[in-house]
Amino acid sequence: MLEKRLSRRMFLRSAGVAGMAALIAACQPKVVEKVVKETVVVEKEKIVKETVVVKETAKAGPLPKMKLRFGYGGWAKDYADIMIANFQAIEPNVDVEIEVIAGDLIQVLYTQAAAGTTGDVQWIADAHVANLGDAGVMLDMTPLAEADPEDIRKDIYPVMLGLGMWQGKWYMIPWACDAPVMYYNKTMLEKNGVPLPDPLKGYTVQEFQEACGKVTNEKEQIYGWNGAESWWAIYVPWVVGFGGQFYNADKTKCLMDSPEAIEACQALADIYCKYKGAVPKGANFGGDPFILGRACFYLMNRFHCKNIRTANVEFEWDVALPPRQPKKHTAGAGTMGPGVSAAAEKRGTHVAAWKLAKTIALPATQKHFARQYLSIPVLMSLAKDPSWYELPAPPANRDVFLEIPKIAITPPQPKDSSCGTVYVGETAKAMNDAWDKMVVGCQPAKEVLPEAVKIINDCIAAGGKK
Amino acid sequence: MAVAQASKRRRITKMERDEWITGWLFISPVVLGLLIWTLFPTIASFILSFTDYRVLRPPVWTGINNYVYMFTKDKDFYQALKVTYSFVAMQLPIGLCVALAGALLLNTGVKGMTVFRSFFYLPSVVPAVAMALVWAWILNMNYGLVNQFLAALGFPRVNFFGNPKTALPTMAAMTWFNVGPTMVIYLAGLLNIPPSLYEAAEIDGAGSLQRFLHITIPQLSPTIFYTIVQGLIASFQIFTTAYVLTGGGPMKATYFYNLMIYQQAFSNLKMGYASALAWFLLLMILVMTLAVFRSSSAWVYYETEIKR
Repeated sequence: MLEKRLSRRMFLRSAGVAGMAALIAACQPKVVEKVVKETVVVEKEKIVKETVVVKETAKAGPLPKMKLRFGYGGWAKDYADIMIANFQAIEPNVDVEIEVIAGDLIQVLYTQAAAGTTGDVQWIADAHVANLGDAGVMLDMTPLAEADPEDIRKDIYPVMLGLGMWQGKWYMIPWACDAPVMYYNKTMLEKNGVPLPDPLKGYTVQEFQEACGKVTNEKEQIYGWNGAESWWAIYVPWVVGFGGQFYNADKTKCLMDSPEAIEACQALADIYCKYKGAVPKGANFGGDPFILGRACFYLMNRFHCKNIRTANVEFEWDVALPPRQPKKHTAGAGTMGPGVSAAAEKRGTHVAAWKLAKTIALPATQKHFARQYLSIPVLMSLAKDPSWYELPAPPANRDVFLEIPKIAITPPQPKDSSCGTVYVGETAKAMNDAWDKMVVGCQPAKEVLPEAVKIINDCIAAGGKK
Repeated sequence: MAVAQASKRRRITKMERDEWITGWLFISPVVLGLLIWTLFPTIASFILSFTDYRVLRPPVWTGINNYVYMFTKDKDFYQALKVTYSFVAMQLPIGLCVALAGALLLNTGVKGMTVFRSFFYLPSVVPAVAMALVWAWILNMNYGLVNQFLAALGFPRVNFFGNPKTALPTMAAMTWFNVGPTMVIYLAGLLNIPPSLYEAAEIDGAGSLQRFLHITIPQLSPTIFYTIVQGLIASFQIFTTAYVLTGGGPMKATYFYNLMIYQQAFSNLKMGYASALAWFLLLMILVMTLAVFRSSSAWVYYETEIKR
């Protein structure tokens, strides 16, 4: 019989392995059993309660070493870079690989989704939320937010939060409190003897139309309004402000042919056709008409302040609320921001992706943007934060940016996206064509809108199918 | 017969087989490319044209629904056809005449013909997008060269791309400056006409117009036939200028057929419907081309042909 002796080396090796195993076992994260679903199942006449228990791991420390991919269009680079920097300060083990998407974001995202190669975090806009949500490209972040001890949703302006939601699911975190305010050229108004707008009331519709007409000088190529009437954030608030609605209550019918909607759209179109007070379609001054002093009014978000200040314009300017409609003063809201892709969930990186995405709404990130005149913080707790509220003028009428989220509305949402939304698809196409006819062809709204509404309603009735 | 049967049964030698394999190996990249990137997508698009395919969901068979919708419900379809046919009618005949005129001028034995030929050919090597953007500058309503010139003469400025009445003719006119390749083809054709024919005609007292109509045009007719067919196929597929400059507007005045296919496929993500539109375009171009071929027997003159 052979005797096998345990050498000292073997003993030390075995002890080392055992010790490592013990250490690893001790460092394992605590498994937390959490009841996440209670299902009541009716079985014939017997009610059976089924409790589903899902084991979730509560992570004690930072995320483990991993890689996340963050896709965004070139225009979002500055915002994304700040997000990534703030995220990596908190999660140093995570490498964030950047993918700059050139060209049409939606086209690229759909192609990537079809191939299963979407990034873990994607920068999208509210225009895309419905389509991407319906197509399953983006992940509903509600469970992630609910499982997160710091629920950022509570502090975000409800109207901004709503921009990232579709059918009760949350797909996009808004990066800023974005609602178009009215930028106006003070010098031009004073030169033409037009009274300045009350910052917190804005012009009435008629005052705005007349002001546009009065400052326009076609020979010198100077116009009243910079246009963008076919953007829902401009015309839908006018329709609502005149007492109309885009859809009926159960979202089965478009109501843009109602007398109120027709009156509202005609009032907008009149700026072009009756008052000749808007920049003609197709005009190109080689830059932003407002900055170049070619347009007196521009309805745009806060970030335009940075553009104007950077351009060192020679005229005085400020901001006011958008024109006041007769029945209700409303404004539109539109923003962009990051979301977690559905592909991240398949890869198991969705929790980390959520942590990256939510850095957009952290106070540090928000203040960073605000300090540069880029945005108004999307967090209500930073409403009058010195990071933006105490910035030097212009603009001097800062309270306009505090008032706007109170009157802003979210885009009208259909029952499903098969016929598109006010941003994309059949619905947007029908409305864009209608606006083309009203402002380029100067056709009356009462003739054009019923035609557009018929296209939309026929599509809805057919369920989006041919 | 026995010999024929014997030769049928002759086995391929090793050398012949090796040559056969080598030949196929050499052309395999091209063949594979054709199969993968031409034949397969063509067959796939034909099948998809009978489906409702939204990219992220599997295609759903709908039969001829797409084609029925195209002809009965889609108003944009007829608008796109109208715009495309109008463009072809404006662009093709005038473009070919401009190319022929240029070739005739170059054929007069002018000094520096090769230099002029290069200048005329140069625009065709400029990328289409860059060309479109340069034209956008030249024709810009506010600071473009053309409008500055008009303003200096006291004329009102013209919104070339913003006015539905001027947008399409402007795009057609832009293509007349891009006739370099056609001009070079015509020039080659003109240089092939035997001078003896002109000499004989001159001796017989024919004037320059008669020589042009009865010698130049008939001799050049095969070349003209070729350029008409090429021009027809190309002009039906116009896309870049409208995509870059107008997006199909204003008021769908420049809503070309190819642009409509692109929007249906990549903006509306209706791949099935876009495929149906694409196959109809193929059919249209085929019919037009066949019509030109059928008509050629009446006006195309081949030297070796005997007309009865």
